[in-house]
Parts: sequence; C-alpha cells; structure tokens
Amino acid sequence: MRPVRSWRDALTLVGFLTPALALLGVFTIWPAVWAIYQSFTNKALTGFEARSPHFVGLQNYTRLLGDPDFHSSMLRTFAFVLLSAVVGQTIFAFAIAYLMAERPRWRLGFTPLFAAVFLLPLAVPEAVAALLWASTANGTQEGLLNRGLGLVGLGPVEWLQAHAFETVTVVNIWRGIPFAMVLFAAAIESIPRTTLEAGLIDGASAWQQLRRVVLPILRPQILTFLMLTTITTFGIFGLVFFLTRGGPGNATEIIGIYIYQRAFQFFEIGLGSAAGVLLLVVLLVLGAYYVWLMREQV
Amino acid sequence: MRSSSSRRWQAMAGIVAIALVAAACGSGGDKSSGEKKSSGPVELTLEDHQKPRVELLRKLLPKFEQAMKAQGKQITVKLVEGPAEDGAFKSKLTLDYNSGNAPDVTSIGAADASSFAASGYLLDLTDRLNGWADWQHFYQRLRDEAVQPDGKVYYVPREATIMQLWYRQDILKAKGVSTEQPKSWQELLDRARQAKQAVGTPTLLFPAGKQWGGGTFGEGFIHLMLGTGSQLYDTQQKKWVVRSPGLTATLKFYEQLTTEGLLPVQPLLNPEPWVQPKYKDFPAGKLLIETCGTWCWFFDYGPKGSAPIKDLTKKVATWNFPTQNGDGEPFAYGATGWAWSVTEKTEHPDEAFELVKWLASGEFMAQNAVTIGAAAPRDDLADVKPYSAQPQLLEAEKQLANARSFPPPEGIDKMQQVIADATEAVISKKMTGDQAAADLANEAKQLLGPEKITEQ
Repeated sequence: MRPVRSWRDALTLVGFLTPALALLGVFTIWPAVWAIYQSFTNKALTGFEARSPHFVGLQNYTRLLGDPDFHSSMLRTFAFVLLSAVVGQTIFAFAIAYLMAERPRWRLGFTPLFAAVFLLPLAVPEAVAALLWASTANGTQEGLLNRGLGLVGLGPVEWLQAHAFETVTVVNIWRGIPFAMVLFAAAIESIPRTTLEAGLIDGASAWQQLRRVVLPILRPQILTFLMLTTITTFGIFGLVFFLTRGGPGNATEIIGIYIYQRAFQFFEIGLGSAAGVLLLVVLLVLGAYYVWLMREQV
Repeated sequence: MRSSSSRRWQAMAGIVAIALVAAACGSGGDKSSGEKKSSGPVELTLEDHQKPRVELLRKLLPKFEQAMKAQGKQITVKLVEGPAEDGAFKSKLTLDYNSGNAPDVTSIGAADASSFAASGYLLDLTDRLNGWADWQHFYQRLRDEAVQPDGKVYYVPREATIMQLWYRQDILKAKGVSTEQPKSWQELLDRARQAKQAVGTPTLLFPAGKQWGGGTFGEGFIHLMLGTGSQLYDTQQKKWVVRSPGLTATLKFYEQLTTEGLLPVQPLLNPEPWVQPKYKDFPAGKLLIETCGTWCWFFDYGPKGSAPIKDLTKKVATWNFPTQNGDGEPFAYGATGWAWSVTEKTEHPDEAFELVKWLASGEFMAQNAVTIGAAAPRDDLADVKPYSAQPQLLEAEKQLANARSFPPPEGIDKMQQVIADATEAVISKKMTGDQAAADLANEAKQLLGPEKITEQ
C-alpha cells in the first residue's frame, strides 16, 4: 500500500472516500445514533408525548425487558433465523449448488434449466413473493398446497393459521436459497479440479471428499454467508408481515414485526427505537462471533 | 512534514463530511402553523381512503371548484388516496402529520381526533365553526362530543355511525330462537346458545384481540362496557378508569363466550380477522349475531358490498345492545364515525375550511352518507336526495337521540392497545377474565402513566 505523499494523493483519497462515507454516515450511522438517542426518550407520534418528548432514561429498556411479548418475539426470531437461514437456506442451497457443480466423475444434465428454476425466487419482489405464498398456502380447498393434498385424499390444511410459523419458515428458506446457491456455486467452482482429483486418487468416497476436502476449503465462504443471512434474517419484516401480520395470535411475531407494531401502529417511537437498539446489540455480538470464527479458519 | 500534511487532509475531510451532514439535516424548511399565503390560485390537497369514498370525491370535487370559481376564488383540489385499511390509513396520516407533510384537509376517524389534537396536528376550527350558520344544524350531541379537553373543536363530523347487534332473523326464526330484543347479557347468551345448538357453529361475534386493531375497542368492547354502569373514563378527574366491576365483567363475558364456544375465536387471531366471520359466515348463515354499523347495509352486505346478502332487509334485522343486568333500556351506539379536519400546518387555512364546509353540507354529504352507509350527522338532510330514499339510514338517524357513545379522550390509542391485549389473552385462553382485568390495569398504568389512571 502506497502512503499519501502529495496533495494529489490526498485529493484522490478524499474524492474516493467522501461519497461512500457521506452515504454511510447519513443513512446508516446517523439513523443509528438518532435511534439510540430516541430510545432514551418517550417520543411518540401521537398524544402529548408527540408534542413534547422528554428524556426518560432507561425506562423503555426496563419496559422491554419486562415485556413477555418482547421475550417471546426475540426467542421466536432466534428460532426463525436458526431454522430458516442457518439450517434451511444453508443446507438446501449448498446441496443444490454441490449437485449442480461439475466435478471429477460427476456432471448433472440440464444444469442451466435447474439453475433458472432455483433462481426464480430471487427475481420476484418481496410483496409478490408474499402474495404468491398467500395463494399457495391458502387454507381452503383452492390453495395450491391443499389441491395437492386433495389429490391424495388429505386436507385441507390451514397452513397460515394452524402451522403459521412452520409455513413462514419454509417460505423464507425458499426465498433465501437462490442467493446462497449462487454464492456456494461460485465457491465450489473455484476449488481446483486437481485437489478434488487427488482426493479421488487417494480413495476418498464421495462423502469423505465432501467432508474432508470441499467443506474445509469452503469454510470462509460458508461463514460469510452465515453472517450475511443471520443479519438479514433478523431484520426480515415484509415477507412475514404480508403473510401473517405476526399472527395468528403472536405465532409469527418476529422482532421486525414487534418493532413495527410498537413504533408505527402504537406510535411509541421511543419504545420501538429501544427494541431496535437491542436488536442492533444482538447483531453486533453475532457479527463479532462470526468474524472471530473466520479468523480461526485454517 | 508528512504527518502535518496528513493531519491537514484529515481535518479537511472532516469539514467536508460535517458540511454534507449539516446540509442533509438542514434541508426542508418547516411550514409555519396556519400561516396564510397571499391570495391567488390555490391548490389544496385532500386525503381520503377506500375506493367508494375516493370515487365519490373524484366525481364531485369539480363542483366545489366551480362553486369557488363562481365566488371569484381560484381553488383547485388535489385528491390523495391513502391505504384502504383503516389502521394503515391512520398510520400513514400519523406519519404525514409528524413529518409536517400532511395534506391540507384529511378524513380522520373521530376516535383519533383527541390524540391528533393533543399532538398539535390539527387546526383549531372553533372560531370558524361558530361563525358558520350550518354548524347549528349538526346534532347537539355530536357537536358536544367534538369539543376536546382543551375546549376547542378540531373536526367537522362527516357521518354519524349507528352500531347495533345485527342478527339473521330468517335463520333464528326458522330454528325457533326468539328474535325479541334481548334486555340483558344473559338473554343474549341464551339466544346465542340456542342458535349454536341449532346450527352447530359459533354464533355470536364481538370483535376481540389484536388483529382487529381499533375495531376490537370500537366495534366490540365498548358496546359491552357501556352496558355495565361502570365508567371507563372519569371526566371529572380526567383519568382512565383501568379497574372497575364493569371492566372485569366485560372481560368475563368474553371468557364465557370463549369457553362456551359461542365466539369464532380462530378467525379473530388471523390477519384480517373480519373476513371469515363477517364476509363468509354471516352471509352463509353460520354466524347469526354480530356487531355492525350502518355501513353494513351498503359496504358489507349491500348489492355492491363485500359479501352481498340477497333480500337483506328480510333476512337481517337489528337489536340494540342489552345492558349487563337488564337494568336500563337496551341502547344503540351512536357517534361521529369519520370526520373532516384541517392540518395545523396548512398554508391555506381559509380555503381549506371552505372545502370542509362544502364537504359537510348539502349534496356532497347526502351522497356521502349513502355511499358509505351512514346516518346524517345533521338534522336537515332527511329531505335531500339520495339520502332521503334510504329508510334504514333515516331510521338509524332517529336512534341518535337516545344512543350511547364514548367520546374518546386523549390516550385512547393506548387504551385500545391495552383492551386488544386483554381480550386476546382471554379468547386465546391464556388468562381468565379476572386475570386479564388485573393485567389490563398494570399495562394501562405502564402505557398511560400512573397520573392518568384511576381505579373504582
């Protein structure tokens, strides 16, 4: 790396960094700082608190920590992230990418066709994806899933009422597979063919090759994806809100919906901000853990 | 040397960044409140929601512009359509108000007026209304209820909503269930039990839970609470009564409905909880008694409604709400539903009020009442077509005189939240009525603050 030695170097440096830093500052850092500030106030969108909010110290945080809805929402979100992102998206996407990748003694036909099919969820806007699943998982005989069950004499099942959490978990797996698949496919393609061939020559079975050769090599990419999907899944709102609005009851009230309801349905901006700040802390801890895991890689 | 140069550039970069942030934060001036702009062509913005209301405005607003032109005023109106669902519309309005970008004139739920007024979002219309001769034609009780705790009026009623119990008289009669007016909760429960025995499904709907939003309070809870004799708001102390025998009895009534399987619980826990019971089960004759308002004659079950019922007036009739113990006459709920308000930050307060006056009188109001299924909030529309040709609405208007209501004070949005939580806890069997009443008092204390609550 060349040190800054002249006005020209400095101007170039500032010229390149300023736009990015300004955007980061205005749209990320400043809102976060503002949210932290608001979390210590009783700011609301209606009522007297809207006109004259004031400092309330840790009151919002103590309220959240004593709110069973907040606890259950956080636990539900952890389960949602674990099942849909960490386990579901990662395992399914890796399996699909691995099966479609060309390797010594393995080549799947019609790969471009499969790739196009699996990439479709990525091309669909979130609201459209939710509508599509609302129709697919419709609890009446007309729903696509129930039509399928009807063919074998079963159902109908009220997917979004009786099995709401399971259904939105599956929907999020479906939604997240394409991005993960592209990432894993590129990573698998980058493994030197000679490395895989060496494993085969040494007598490694397909399972041993996957476990002893491929997975260790792809550890950085897998951890990177896990970090990204953990962060984005914690922040999911639209897909679940459009499908269930957090219901039935609180069955799918993940933290994004909890925050939305407090801030924009009950108009308690201070409380919503405090919940957002706690979420930020959780994500920072998880992000730091992933970074630590990546430093541990061989 | 290098170090000094580096520091200089760091400082410069810092200044550039601060300038950018300052520029971003400083942009967008705030409109001064109610500041009047110089005369000349004026474009007002008007926000409403739901297709029938918006289409009516789109059709008739040119008449307002022509009327203004005839008076030598160049006023045009830009119509803004908000989200159709009431809760989403309220959220959008609230954010618009808070950001200072609200339209000049908006349709607001009268139940939200106290919160919006306390927030400083609405223009005080008191003097203007007192100087408007037509204001005296609005029913006294609606005018009284429009007065906020600060003694000012911030809205003009757009419609009067009369809510009652709607029942399927065709099916109840066919099954041998009495259709006489129930006078007590017990009599109502008896009807619902007999009906359930006859059709095998939950037969009585009082909205409950969180998914119904403000409707849990306004379309369900309050009709029971008003029949108990307990206060929900102490107007003298200006405090919410968060624990009272009536409140506990109301929650226990929900508990009884739930344990006896009289209430369709599962749909109430779903998004858009009204769809299954109101739009499917009631027309299909599975749900036989529900709370409903005048709008149901048109919006819900009319020929162009969401779930038309053929020969509606033959199949459906209404009861007033019974009281808890049968003491006192059964009552209808009557109050302003939606209303017209002017944003406090409008630059054209006089022109905006001209628009409100036009919207709240004569041809527009008569057509509006028929379009949305509402009783007229003023006493001089009974002969104005097409309202004059709607017997159900005219009959409902007569109920206003003896109706009960609950003029929502400041804090209503928080109380709605508390009631939604309590009723959901009961219908999902997480709590008994007694437990929910205790929990309600605690939550209300937390949300409203101890200085704004009391117990009886």
